[in-house]
Amino acid sequence: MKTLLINTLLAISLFASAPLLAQDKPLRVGMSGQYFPFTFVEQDELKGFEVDVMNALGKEMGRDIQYETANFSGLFGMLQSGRIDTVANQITITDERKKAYIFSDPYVYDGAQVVTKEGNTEVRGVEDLKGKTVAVNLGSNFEALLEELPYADQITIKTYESNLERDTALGRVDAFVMDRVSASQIIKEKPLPLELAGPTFSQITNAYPFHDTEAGRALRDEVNKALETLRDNGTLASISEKWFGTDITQP
Amino acid sequence: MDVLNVEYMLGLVPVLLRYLPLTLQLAGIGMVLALFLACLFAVVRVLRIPVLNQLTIVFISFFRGTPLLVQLFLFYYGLPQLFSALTVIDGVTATVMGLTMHFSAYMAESIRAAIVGVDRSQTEAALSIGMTNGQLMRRIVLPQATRVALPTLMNYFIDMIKATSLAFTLGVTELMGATQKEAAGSFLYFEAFIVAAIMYWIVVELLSKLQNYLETRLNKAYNR
Amino acid sequence: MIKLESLSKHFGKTVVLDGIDLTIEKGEIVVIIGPSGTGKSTLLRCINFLEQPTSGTMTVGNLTVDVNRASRGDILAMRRQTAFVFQNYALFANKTALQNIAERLLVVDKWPKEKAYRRAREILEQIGLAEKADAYPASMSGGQQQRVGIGRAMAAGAEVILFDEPTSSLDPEWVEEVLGLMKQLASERQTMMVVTHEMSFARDVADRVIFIDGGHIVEQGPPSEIFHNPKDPRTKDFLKKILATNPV
Repeated sequence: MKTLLINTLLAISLFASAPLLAQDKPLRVGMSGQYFPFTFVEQDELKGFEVDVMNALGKEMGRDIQYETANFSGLFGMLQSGRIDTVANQITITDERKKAYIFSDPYVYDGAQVVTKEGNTEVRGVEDLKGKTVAVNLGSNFEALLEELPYADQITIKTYESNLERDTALGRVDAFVMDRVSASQIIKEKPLPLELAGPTFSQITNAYPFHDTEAGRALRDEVNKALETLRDNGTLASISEKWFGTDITQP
Repeated sequence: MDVLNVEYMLGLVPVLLRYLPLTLQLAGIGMVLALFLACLFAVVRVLRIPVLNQLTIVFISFFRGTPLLVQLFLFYYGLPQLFSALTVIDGVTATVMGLTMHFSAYMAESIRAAIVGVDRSQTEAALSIGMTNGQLMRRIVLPQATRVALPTLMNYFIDMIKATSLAFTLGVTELMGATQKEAAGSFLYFEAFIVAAIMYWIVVELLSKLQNYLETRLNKAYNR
Repeated sequence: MIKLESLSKHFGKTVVLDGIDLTIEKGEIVVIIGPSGTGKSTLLRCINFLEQPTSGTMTVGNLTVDVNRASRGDILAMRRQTAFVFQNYALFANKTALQNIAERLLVVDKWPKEKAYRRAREILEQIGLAEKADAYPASMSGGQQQRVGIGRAMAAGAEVILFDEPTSSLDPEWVEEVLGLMKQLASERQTMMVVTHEMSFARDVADRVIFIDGGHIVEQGPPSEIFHNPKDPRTKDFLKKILATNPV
């Protein structure tokens, strides 16, 4: 009985959202407008990495993009209730979310990132941290991540309240670990000789969620196709460079 | 601490002012509808109109007993999930609906208390000259109850203005939503929210002036 | 003409009025006396349907109702035929003296505004409060308020005006002006039923005095008879007590 009800409702909502397949409809995109530098507002103008990527996707797909801003806590409700088609707000793909939605291909790869002083040839990735001193922020979960490494006992971990990037640049520690996006921003904004060392570990991927309906799947395929083009022609990379000084759209 | 970035604050004023009218509209329309509904509920409760009375009790209990944000979510996200046609309820409508129902539940109780507080002799005098219940309510009881309820109702209105800041969760960019987004862009949170706070404050101050004026007028009959 | 037949009122198991039979002629001034809590006020309130009588029949003018079968319309019509003056004045607190008097004409009788206010001003003249037309009750003395209360009852053009202890709440200094106005009304042969402890008013103004005790009419007659030659021992006892404190 319950399944029947759900199926009926699904069928109705499917029917109701069918017109979305029409090409002339704008893609309705939800975002918080409060996550710098991904989505934010300056003098009443919506900007950020997410906006740039989405505009590029819209151009590629030949669709207008209609932005809807709302508090993050409201975004999934808007998606669920069919008021927006997807969310562009660094939505991480998780098992929980995969039960409710289908995801596009990832367009941002984030995760724990090793950062060293510029020109450090010894540490080129997480596997090189053996026997080194590594800084992490107090209270972050990167300390726990380092403890999980098989050679954890050979790493000296120093926790910092602040300024771990300065000590790394000064050579007081060999490297620090934080999420790649934040690390990229620090490198871009602060005049310190630092660089990313190797790919991320404990990777997370961010993508666009869609309804698991015929219309949702069609949109997802359309977005994936456009993403692929933008990735191939370097547009994604250049947008990322613009905001982060590095390419966070590659693993 | 860095000094306050006054230049940024001044620049933000005209931007945020664009969103103030929406905030006032949400609260204004919500208040008018809520007052109407609350009077209806209060009269139903006072006259104990069968069936309607029981329904009103349940309504008031629910909308007083649950957070406004939960109600907004129910209207905006919940209902369309059950009936997809209700997706036509946009953020503004859902906010006004939520504010109306939530605050009407509170206001109904204060109006009811004010009505019950009107001296029994007033009712008897009105009935003795042959007024119907409706005439009695309209001409004698509600005007007198208004005077008693006014300060409380004004408080609810002020509360409602501030409650509109929840609308951004439904994708309605009003004063608070606009401020949050601007602050996210500049990282000047303190400056941005000070500007918004002052705007809310000025509006509420003007309302307090209106309240004083109304109270003086309504108290005219009671000065010795 | 007013005719009450077997009018009874019970509050739960307490019998407050026990089968009252009473006929009052048009233009008659009737004063009802009796100990406190014996149903005098309840009798007036039943006639005005401020209390729902338990059983009996009432006729006021050409309107007769069996109290148990009275429809809402019957009750409204009965109230419109019987004006009430309250012990505590009960003026509409949100309305001026003029509005208090005009209210019934405007709302119940649906008179046009101008006509209603003209009539209300006439009444204010009659009760000697023309200069208080725009005053609110809170700013008037008890005596003035009660005169407006009587004015409001006069505006009704009702078959009978019911006075429920109209001077009991007044400071002594205001009693005379209210009784004076009632005497004036009586001289115009306005049918009146008055519950009061003012024995001098009963003696000087009443056509008939009714003594009620225990929900029954114990004795009735012209004031001279009741005051000077009461027959029932309960009447004698009551008069002896009340005349000791309120000498005529």
